Amino acid sequence: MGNEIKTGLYLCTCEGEIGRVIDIDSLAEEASGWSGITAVHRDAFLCSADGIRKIREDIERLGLDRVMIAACSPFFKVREFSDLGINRYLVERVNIREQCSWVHRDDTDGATRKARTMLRVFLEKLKNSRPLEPVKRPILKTALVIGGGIAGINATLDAAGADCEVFLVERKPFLGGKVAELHNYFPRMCPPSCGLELMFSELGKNRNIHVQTLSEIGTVTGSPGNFEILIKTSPRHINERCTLCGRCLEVCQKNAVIYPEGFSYPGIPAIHRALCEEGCRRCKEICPAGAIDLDEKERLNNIKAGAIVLSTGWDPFDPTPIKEFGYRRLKNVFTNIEFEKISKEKKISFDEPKRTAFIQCVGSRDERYLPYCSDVCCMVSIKQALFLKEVNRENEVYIFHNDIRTPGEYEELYQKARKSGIIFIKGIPSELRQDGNKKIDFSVFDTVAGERLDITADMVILAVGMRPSNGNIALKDKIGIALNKNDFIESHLQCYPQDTQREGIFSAGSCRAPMDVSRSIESAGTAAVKALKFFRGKVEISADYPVVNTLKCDVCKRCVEECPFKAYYFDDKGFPKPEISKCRSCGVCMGSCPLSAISLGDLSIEQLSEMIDALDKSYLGNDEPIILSFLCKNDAYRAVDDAGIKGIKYPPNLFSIMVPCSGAVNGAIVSKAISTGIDGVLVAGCPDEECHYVHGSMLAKTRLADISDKLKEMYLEPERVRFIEISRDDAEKFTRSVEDYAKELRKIGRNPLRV
Amino acid sequence: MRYAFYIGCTIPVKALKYEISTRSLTGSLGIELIDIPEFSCCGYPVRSMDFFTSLVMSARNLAIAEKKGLDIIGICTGCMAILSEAKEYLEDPIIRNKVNKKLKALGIKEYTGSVKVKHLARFLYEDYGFDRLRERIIKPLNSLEFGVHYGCHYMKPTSAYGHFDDPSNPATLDELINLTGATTIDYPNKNLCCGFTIMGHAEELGLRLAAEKLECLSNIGVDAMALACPSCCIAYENNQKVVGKRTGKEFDLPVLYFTQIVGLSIGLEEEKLGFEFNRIKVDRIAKKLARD
Amino acid sequence: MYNYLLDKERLRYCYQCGKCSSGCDVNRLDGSFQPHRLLHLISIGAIDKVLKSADIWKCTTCFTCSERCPQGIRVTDILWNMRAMAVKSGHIPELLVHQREVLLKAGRLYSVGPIDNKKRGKAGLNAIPEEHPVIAKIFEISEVED
Repeated sequence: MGNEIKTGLYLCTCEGEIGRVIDIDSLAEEASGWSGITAVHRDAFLCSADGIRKIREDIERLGLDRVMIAACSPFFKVREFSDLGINRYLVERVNIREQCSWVHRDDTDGATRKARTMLRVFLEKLKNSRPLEPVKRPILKTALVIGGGIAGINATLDAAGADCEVFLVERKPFLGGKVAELHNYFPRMCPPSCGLELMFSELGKNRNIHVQTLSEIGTVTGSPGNFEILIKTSPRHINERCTLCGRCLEVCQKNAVIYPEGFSYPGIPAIHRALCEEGCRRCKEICPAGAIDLDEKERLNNIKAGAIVLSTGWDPFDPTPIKEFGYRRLKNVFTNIEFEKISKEKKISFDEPKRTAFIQCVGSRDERYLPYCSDVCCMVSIKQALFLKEVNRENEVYIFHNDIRTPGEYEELYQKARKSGIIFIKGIPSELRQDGNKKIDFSVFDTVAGERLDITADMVILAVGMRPSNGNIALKDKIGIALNKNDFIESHLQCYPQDTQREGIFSAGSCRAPMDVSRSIESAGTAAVKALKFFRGKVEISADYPVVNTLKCDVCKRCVEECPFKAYYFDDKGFPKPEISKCRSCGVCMGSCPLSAISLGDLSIEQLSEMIDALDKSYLGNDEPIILSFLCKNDAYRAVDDAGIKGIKYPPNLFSIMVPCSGAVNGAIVSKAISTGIDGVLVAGCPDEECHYVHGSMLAKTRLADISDKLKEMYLEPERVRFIEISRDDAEKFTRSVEDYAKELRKIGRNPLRV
Repeated sequence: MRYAFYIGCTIPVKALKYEISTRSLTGSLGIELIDIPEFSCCGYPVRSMDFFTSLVMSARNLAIAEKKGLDIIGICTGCMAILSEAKEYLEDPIIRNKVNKKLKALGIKEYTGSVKVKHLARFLYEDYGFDRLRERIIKPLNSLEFGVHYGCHYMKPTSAYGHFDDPSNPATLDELINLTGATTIDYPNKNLCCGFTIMGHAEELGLRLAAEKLECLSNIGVDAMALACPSCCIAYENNQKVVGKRTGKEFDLPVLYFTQIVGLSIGLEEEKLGFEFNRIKVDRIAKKLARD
Repeated sequence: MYNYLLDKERLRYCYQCGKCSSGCDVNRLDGSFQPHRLLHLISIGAIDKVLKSADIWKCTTCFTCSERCPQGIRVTDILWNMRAMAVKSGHIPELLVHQREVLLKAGRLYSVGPIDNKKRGKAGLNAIPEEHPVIAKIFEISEVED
């Protein structure tokens, strides 16, 4: 295209904010003579309705095919400049306010020289800009719910109730998850059978719902809106003809028949073949309905779904590693989960009054195990303690706690517990002992009384916390979601709790955080609504995704390996290609390519190279060093803008180019800058752990270090390239580094390669 | 199998039977313990004076062994705990750099962290191997029953000791004594501290702690207490009469080091195991063994 | 360095579960010794009260509290260090004055004299050096650090 472009250059004086420092008149006059510039307009208030109208009219009247707006930061007035009647990739914002006039206000000459250079460089970029359109894809209005506990069941019912087709997959033989095993729920103390039974009958009635038990997720392919999931279903060995006569259970000598509880779903038993005696077919032979098939094989099927709801649930913390509590070693020491079964099945006689001690925060709020509060344990212990008081009023119950946490309505139960005579003591026993008999001795320091108490109990209940089930870890890579440091599903807890970090994938229940039944159901509803909302739209994929130049590519696979989102696959011809629905246009692949064969749609390697050529290395005269900096879009660029906003000054020696991530800066570009006479190249990215693109800044740091070494080999000063970590709030740090770097470069002297 | 022998301060002055029996036992097992005259105090008492100085002192000892290319074996649990915990602190590069500067001023190049530190009992358990030791046992002590006292610093801090034994329910010393054919018992205050370390500051408390365990084991009627630390031995054996007097009780409980017990079982003579230095007479034990 | 060494920031996480005191055998025998209370005083800045207290000298350094602290606070080491700080602020128990003298001279906690070495010789053990000047040097160069 070269010189054929017709660019309209719009220079804003910003009511003096720019015009007071930069000589806009002379720039306008000069630029009007540059090739590629068709029109130049000066305005004191470009973002005003008049200013915008002027641009729109010019495009129409003069047939402009490029627009360059030299004004404030591109993160300012985004809305005003968003619709100019020209493809937005053909509009270039040149930041002569935040990164020029404001920060160089004491150096009008320097600021004007820098602004002129900026115009030239970004005009060069525009010459090779292409119009781009976002890709829109339709969304399949089908949901897959993974995990059939209380959260998964409710998400399924809510979504299906809104006329959406839902597949519910559970890896156990029956639905219901952990809650099916509970004695009762707080705060209403109803048994799980009550709620679950109703839910199961609704599941059965709704033809939009397809339940698959004994099933696990194989592979997940496709993209948000169009997932394809392979499901592996283990054989149940018993089919719908089963009449629940129970004969199979009677003849089995290996406990291999898993029989449903009164209200299970499905209401058909399963046979755990691994437990079977070899060659035994007694159950099959005795079954009067002919419902047993011992040779049934594993089945595979594919599900297509637009959205996925994860509800993989939780597991209780195993307190065995807390040796001093002697779990498994001492008699009559149980976990709260075990106590649910004890109380449900009345496994212990409560005729004789007992003294029971609950110990709170077992595993929870513990640096070594679960550093978080497990949310439900206080209420669970209160519920169980009340049960003990109900079965026998003479039962003595102690709850040893750190803090009792019963927010909202739950406080009522806490009051009830106190009134019922349950004794609450702030203090945690250090060690449980058992001397021969079945009683448990321990000491506890009552930190309120300031006294040590010696207690002998008949039973100790360890209030163990909740940890995410291993389903989270199993699905993490398959589905491509992030987990937090405790392996719960990562989300923006405050604003988007049920969204995962991946579009079209939502979470419900305790796989995201410890939750009680009520909150699980609530979160399931939210997840369902989120999925339904997602179904109403179209997936829009940003148009600036990278493109691989297959003429240059030698299939070294570096891009495939370094892509933070594992978006690359190999196309029919064996070349790497990004799956654009997974791609976030961070450009780490562009930075990684040893042959510079990858370019982002809106910032190509060629553009960068030509911009460097266009950069006048002596724009501040022959003696001043020029620092070319690449600033990551999310943090460093904004921090540098902040310097302008806060009125911090730095010398005009710094010339900045915005990149999506510091990891997008290709070594060839840095080398080109040095070889064409730039005195110093500064790449600014996030501190490692803050990088928005996982490891982009870490890669940038490593690459820069390599280039630094190479400079040494070429007898150039290794200090000429530098990486600095800049957080969003590091304006001062950045400007200080620039000043220091400029001083250092002055000392080192001019780049000998500058012409 | 060559190791730097970290003997500590207490043993060569106050626990000769421990030293004698250790030298005989290791000699017989083919474990070569090299004496290092440059070793100083491990740093334990200095912790109460200046934490950093104590760390430098520990690091110096560690660095000396490191320079000689020898891992450390010791028999005082206090020394082992302090040296091991120092190792843990010194894993932090900031602390290590600071300490290394001091070592340089002492003419020692640096501490790198490569040296291993182990109590002899743990060494037998983890490195020498109980299976190998079992083969050496020619005089089983089947008729003897011991109450094992581990000593707090034998396995704590567990993080410094790689969690090799469980402080709530320790087992390695029991297993070692059981190898000899002797029985060991579980008793209520097995994990109780001997109180030795506070004898100088809160004597009464220290004596009461010691008395509790002596009373418990005396009531059960074991043949002897078995232990692995010179300080604990002072608390329970050297001080046994004082403890009795102060608490109005009379004790006569022999106290044996594990090295003496294992030594007997592999056929070493009593004089090679320092029994002459046992303050509470071990005649009963000798008689029982003679009968076997 | 002390703050860094002992991770005293961690101390501020202490939520007073009292496990350190519950599991402490000294507390069992002498109720006035309450590690959780000492930690609380340190964390609210009332360190002077701790340093003046005889309690810090009652800890046997058995490490049980450190082992079981749910917040991973090195309780034993922190209390231990309180002794050192007490010493620096002038609260020095007699035993420590003596121990320090011996340490500076002999390099070990118990001095070794000719009688001891004679006894060792009789028992077939080698002699132990009676002096170890390096210890004085260690104190001299290290103790100044704060």
